[in-house]
Amino acid sequence: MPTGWATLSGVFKVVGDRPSAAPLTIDKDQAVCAPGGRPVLSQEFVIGPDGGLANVLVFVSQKLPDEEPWTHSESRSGKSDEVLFDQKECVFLTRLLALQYTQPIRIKNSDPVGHNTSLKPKKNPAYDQTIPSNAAGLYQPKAEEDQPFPVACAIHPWMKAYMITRRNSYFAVTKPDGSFEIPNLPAGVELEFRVWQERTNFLQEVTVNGASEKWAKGRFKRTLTAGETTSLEVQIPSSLFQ
Amino acid sequence: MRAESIRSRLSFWTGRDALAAGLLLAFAAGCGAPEAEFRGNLVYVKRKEIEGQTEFTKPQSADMANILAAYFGTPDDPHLPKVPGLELGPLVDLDRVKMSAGKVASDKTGQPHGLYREHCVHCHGVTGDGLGPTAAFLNPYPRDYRMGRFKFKSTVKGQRPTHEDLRKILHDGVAGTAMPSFKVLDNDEVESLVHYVKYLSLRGEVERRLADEVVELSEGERLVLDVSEKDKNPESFNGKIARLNEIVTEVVQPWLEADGLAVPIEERTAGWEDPEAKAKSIARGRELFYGSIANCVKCHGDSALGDGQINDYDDWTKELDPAKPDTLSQYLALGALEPRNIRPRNLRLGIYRGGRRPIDLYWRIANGIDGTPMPAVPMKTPENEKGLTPDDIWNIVDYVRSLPYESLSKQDRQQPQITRERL
Repeated sequence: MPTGWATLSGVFKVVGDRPSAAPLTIDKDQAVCAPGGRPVLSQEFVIGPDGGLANVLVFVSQKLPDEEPWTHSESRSGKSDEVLFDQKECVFLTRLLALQYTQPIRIKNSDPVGHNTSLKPKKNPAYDQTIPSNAAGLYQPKAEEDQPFPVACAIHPWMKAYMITRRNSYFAVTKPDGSFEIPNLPAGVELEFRVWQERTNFLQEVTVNGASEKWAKGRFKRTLTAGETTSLEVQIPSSLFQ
Repeated sequence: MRAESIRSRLSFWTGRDALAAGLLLAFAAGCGAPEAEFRGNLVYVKRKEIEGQTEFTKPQSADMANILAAYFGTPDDPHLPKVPGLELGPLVDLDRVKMSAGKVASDKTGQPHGLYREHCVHCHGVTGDGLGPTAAFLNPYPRDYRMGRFKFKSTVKGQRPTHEDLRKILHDGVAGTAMPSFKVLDNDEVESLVHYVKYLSLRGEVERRLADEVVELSEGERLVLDVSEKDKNPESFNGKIARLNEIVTEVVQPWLEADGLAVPIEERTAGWEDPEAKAKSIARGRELFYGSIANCVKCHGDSALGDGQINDYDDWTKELDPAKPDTLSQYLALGALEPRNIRPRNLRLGIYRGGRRPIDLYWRIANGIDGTPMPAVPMKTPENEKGLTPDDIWNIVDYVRSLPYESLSKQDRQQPQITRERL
């Protein structure tokens, strides 16, 4: 039985030779999507100046009962505030959107040209609608997904993003500096976490706090201590991004 | 003398002469042909192995095959999954499925059997995988039912087709493809085939979900335990069975809901058949076609020839990751068909695959086309001012239907006219 609440935090860094992002082929609406003719780079991996890896998803993968002492009242299911998913200059502004499946998603188009946003989840109904310029569509997920699903645009095929719907709020997406934090986790019990990044999929072999760890299919287990913050400094070899 | 002749007659039935005679009898009775078997979804399994950086072990693959056989039977002897609380009744009827299943035959009342094998197998394959013997020679390829996605239907993109949608495809065929019309068949026979298609689709979807489950298993874990474990380890055994039943329910649920989800068509505001009103409608449709709400020209091209976007793929091909040659070669080795781009429809030909009634075109525009990059148009709602009304969609339908008659669409004669000079 859980003994209290704890926080898991950390930072994901890429070590080794810095991989370079590939340029995308912009073959439509160049005036909007590649203004000034500048090259548009793929955001398949976004590595900050210190090696911080953005858009890494960390989430609790086991099914926890939805009430205390297993799930904190602030993290339980049932959130209903709307989440914004916007696109501008033919780029989805959120590369990896994580939310509870009870929350509706407002899919906005802040470009002067039309987009059609296509969501292909596994357990949820698919969505594929043209979103006119400066308009928005609404998508209400219905179920929890086990892994992120892709978001695309048929008119601008280089556009890409991912979304995942979860039951409770025990998930986090790393910021541009690679850091993340999941508060209010049940302490004193073994929790199974899963880590996913777009290019590497579920991360398998990493270095955590200096020691090498093997995460089978992206899973690692930790037991947290009540009232404490467990910090993980995860290093990922840059060879995975070449 | 007599005893010897009797003995020599008896000795014929022993030794190698008997073996030869036995084989002759066997072939004469038709026991030489192998029994039809469902083929596993090797391409999807491979894809999961590559994604998950793992390999399916022999027991795990055997589990998948056994579970599918337990739920769905074989091509000659089908049955439907028995899941507590799940009523497959009107969706898939076992008697109708049995009429389409099995070898081609007819009983003494003249009722046919083996309809699927008679009419469908050569393109769609025994497993409904779109990999029948003729498939590689067809453009477009025959449908692979196993994803549960069907293009031409009355429900919104992402939902399953209704029974009526599938029946229409069989009845009318798909113009511009190798799928013929089966309207010459009896109504009962068409109904039976529709049920069999649903049966194959459900089976294929369950197989994919099982493969998803296997990838998530920890090392050495299995999808289902041996019957011997039932008493030793009842919690684990029953837990696994419950999970499998859950998977089947998740697959069947959208099909059960589909029949109520056909997008209703609002009647057009009156007077549109009047030639002047029609011209206005076509002009308005052209405006919308080129406009920024429907964005049709972005894919269908400035001349509606389907040349606006030629590098995309349909969902069945996207699963093969055509842009990655290393994995693609592995899929091709397992029998996948060579990937082809999907081109937006050339609207100037007057050939509409999903049906050429105005309502069919309305559905394509309003719902999008499942399995393809064709999206649904946004509808005008109190929250969304920038949407189309049903009348707007009818205007686009009128414009699209007028395109083949424009002078730009006129097709030149393919052969020069042979004229004789008159003296």
